Amino acid sequence: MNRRSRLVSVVAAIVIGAIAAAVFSKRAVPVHPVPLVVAENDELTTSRAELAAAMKTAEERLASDPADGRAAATYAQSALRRARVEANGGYTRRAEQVLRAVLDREPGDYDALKMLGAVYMSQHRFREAIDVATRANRIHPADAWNYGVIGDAHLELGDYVSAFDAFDKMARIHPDAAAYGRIAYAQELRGNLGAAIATMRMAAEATGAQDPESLAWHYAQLGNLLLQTGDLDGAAREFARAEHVFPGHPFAAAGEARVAAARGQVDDAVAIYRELMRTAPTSEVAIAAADLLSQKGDSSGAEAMYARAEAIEREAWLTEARLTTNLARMLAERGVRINEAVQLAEEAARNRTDIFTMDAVAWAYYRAGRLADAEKASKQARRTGTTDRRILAHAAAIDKSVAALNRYRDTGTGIRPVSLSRAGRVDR
Amino acid sequence: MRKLACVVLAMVAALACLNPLRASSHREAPLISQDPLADNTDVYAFVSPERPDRAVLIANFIPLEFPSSGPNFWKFDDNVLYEIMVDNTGDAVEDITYQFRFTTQIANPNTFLYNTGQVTSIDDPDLNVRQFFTLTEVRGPRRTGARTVVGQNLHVMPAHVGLISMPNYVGDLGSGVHQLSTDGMRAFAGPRDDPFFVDLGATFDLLQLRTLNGKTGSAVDGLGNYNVHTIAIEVPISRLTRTGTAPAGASDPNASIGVWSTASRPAITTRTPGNAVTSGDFVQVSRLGMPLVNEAVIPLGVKDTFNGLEPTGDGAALGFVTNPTVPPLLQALFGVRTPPPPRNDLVTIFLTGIPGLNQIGTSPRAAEMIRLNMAVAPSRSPSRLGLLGGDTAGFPNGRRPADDVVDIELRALAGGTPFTPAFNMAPNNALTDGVDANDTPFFPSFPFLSAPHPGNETGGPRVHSNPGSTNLNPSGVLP
Repeated sequence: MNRRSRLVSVVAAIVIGAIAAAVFSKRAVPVHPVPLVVAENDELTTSRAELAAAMKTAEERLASDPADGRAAATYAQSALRRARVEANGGYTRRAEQVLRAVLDREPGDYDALKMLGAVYMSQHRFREAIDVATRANRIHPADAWNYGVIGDAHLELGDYVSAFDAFDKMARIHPDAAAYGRIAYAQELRGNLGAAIATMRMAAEATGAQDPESLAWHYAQLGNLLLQTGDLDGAAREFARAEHVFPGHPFAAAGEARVAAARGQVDDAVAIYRELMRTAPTSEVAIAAADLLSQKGDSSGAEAMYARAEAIEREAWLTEARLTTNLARMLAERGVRINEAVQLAEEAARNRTDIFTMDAVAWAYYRAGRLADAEKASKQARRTGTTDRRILAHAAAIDKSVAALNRYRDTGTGIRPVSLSRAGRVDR
Repeated sequence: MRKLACVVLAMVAALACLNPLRASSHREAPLISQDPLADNTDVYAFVSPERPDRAVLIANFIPLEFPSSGPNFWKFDDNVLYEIMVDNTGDAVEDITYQFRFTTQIANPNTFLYNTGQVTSIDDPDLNVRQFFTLTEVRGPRRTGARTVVGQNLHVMPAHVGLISMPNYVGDLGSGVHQLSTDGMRAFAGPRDDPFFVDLGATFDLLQLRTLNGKTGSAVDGLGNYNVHTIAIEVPISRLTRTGTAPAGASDPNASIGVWSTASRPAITTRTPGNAVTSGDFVQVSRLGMPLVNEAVIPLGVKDTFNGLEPTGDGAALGFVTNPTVPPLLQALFGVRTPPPPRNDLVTIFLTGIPGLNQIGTSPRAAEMIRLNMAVAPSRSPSRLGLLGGDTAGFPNGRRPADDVVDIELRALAGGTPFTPAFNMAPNNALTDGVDANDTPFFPSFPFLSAPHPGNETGGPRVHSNPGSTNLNPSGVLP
């Protein structure tokens, strides 16, 4: 894509301006000076301060022209980034309202429409994201962006064939950092960590200096992949790099905590998680901290963190899609409120069948003693060929119990298969 | 209405503040509409005023580089294939391609710093991030033709981090010019001052051309203080012609070539077997030849498609050129009467070349590229207006860094050229954005483009324009 249009062009400004304003519209020409070049995206620089400044500038433009789709899209993109780095979902709701306000006025505004798909995705409204991105795709089939949204949403829903198809289309149109990052994740899901690492490196390489938030995201993902291979030093280096390019990025800190935990430096890991719970609290961080506190024998501390995790999840249901996978898995892994865990897991599986949801289902069934159901769900959780440690640990425990049960049935020894209380736990 | 919008925004803002939430997993990768590392900005092709038996081909990438981009200083992408193509037969198919591939080396992997101390030579150990390039010449189709590596392990000039880190960038680090053994060719890669000059702000503020409606003001080079990344080669003219010999004169049918540049990324799929990551094929993601055609002529909705096209497919874009959208706006905004479509004059300038000057052969295929008659000697007193200024060695016969392509193309779009005599009068033939030269002077020798702005400069125009100036037709938009 040639973005240079901002430049020189006596022109680009003109093209849309002429058509939209001067010639065909009833609106007088000079009232719409800024957003004329609608198909070219605003420059987005993504340091923390610049994200805030971009939102403020976009707000001012929207105050001047509430139908400015490009300003709304810029606002929303910055808001999505802030939601990630500040762990504040409020930004995504705000972005949605800003985009909707524009679309109410200009239903055909492409910039606002395509960004709305990304916002829905971030809110876990996967089917709505697919609907919107498909509409946007019909308007501009050659825009790789919409395939990214469509693929992301299918991935979360567990439709991996559709997701991978979308990512492949995206990469055929424009193989850039956005496409590389998605293909790396697909390779990871398929258990090909070597390819995933190489592709994620390409994604990081392809990210420009103006976008440190994306750079940090890619480095953090590289760290996560290296961690899965056991390369703790390599992972630590990537997390440190992420912190270097975007100081305070929560993904960098969470990665550093995981490395510390893997090295047995539990206190260090807990300290990082506690700080993250102060600056960018998430249920994932709370659960990871709680697991470590439990491992240390700090049961009250662990309980408090588990409670915070549950509160965060339940609070999210009030404003976002009701996704129950995380809470179901947490309860099942802790071995508490198992009936509720099963109920939540089944509820999740009615909406999505991604491998992580199916793993939660499998583990909840397992803890409920429903081995046949657990085995069936566990196979679903392994269907992409993933090497995810938690999924494989759960699966190993389930398979072991199933095998033991089969032996028990064959031999009639009367010995119960295995304890269901400790098996399948994975340190995070 | 505006007040209502403010209220709504305020309410929405309050909503976000009142309900800080959990973060979700957000595993999805960032969606980015920009790919600056593979984004062509400009292409230049001209006969070297330094060595007139050679042609200079330059392609720039990475628009609007802030010099102060640390800690992640801009560099070429190791995964991107950067290319400059030459058509010497007029069929819009490349006959010679120069391919640049880059590799990055980190001297000290234990630090993320670009430099760990003051850098006073190109080999200084304190320069932590280094890039090197391989230059390959391909004769025939660029993917299947005969390949010759003409240079490898050539250092790329580093980012100009700042005056403390690099107190004498040019003097200490050298020119970055590599003398190659093949035919005396020379090559360069690295950051440079963006040589394009244009009053960006005024242009986008509804075309405030300061020569219209009696308005005057100090125009600003909106790309002043920005850098780009440059690949450049200097090639004997005889190496670029179809016959392999230097043209006998400007009328020699062997004299003209077409030049364009692309960036391509490796093809990749989710289903690559084993540990393979890419298929080895490349997907063209950016393309540039004539300045402003992609920006000014090609509609926004098909730009990405155009970026992926080979020049042989440019016939599909003919309608955009014969019936461009800019002239009607000039007429609507400023009352400038322009030639009616079909604009065959623009087809000649942009797509087929000017007969007797830079048309390649007698029946060239319409395609978007810079056309250069290499037998036209460099001008001793170049005109920024190129051919319109009586300087046949200038744009649109090739393109030199100092050619004012904004003014030239504005005038061409308005019909202010000899091709459309009825419109070749003021204001059509006097249109200007008011920026006549680059913000920094060009070097007199290869690679000609100025050294990059140092990181302690912040980027952006140095000078502020007069804020009250406007040249909009006061009597209304429509004439």
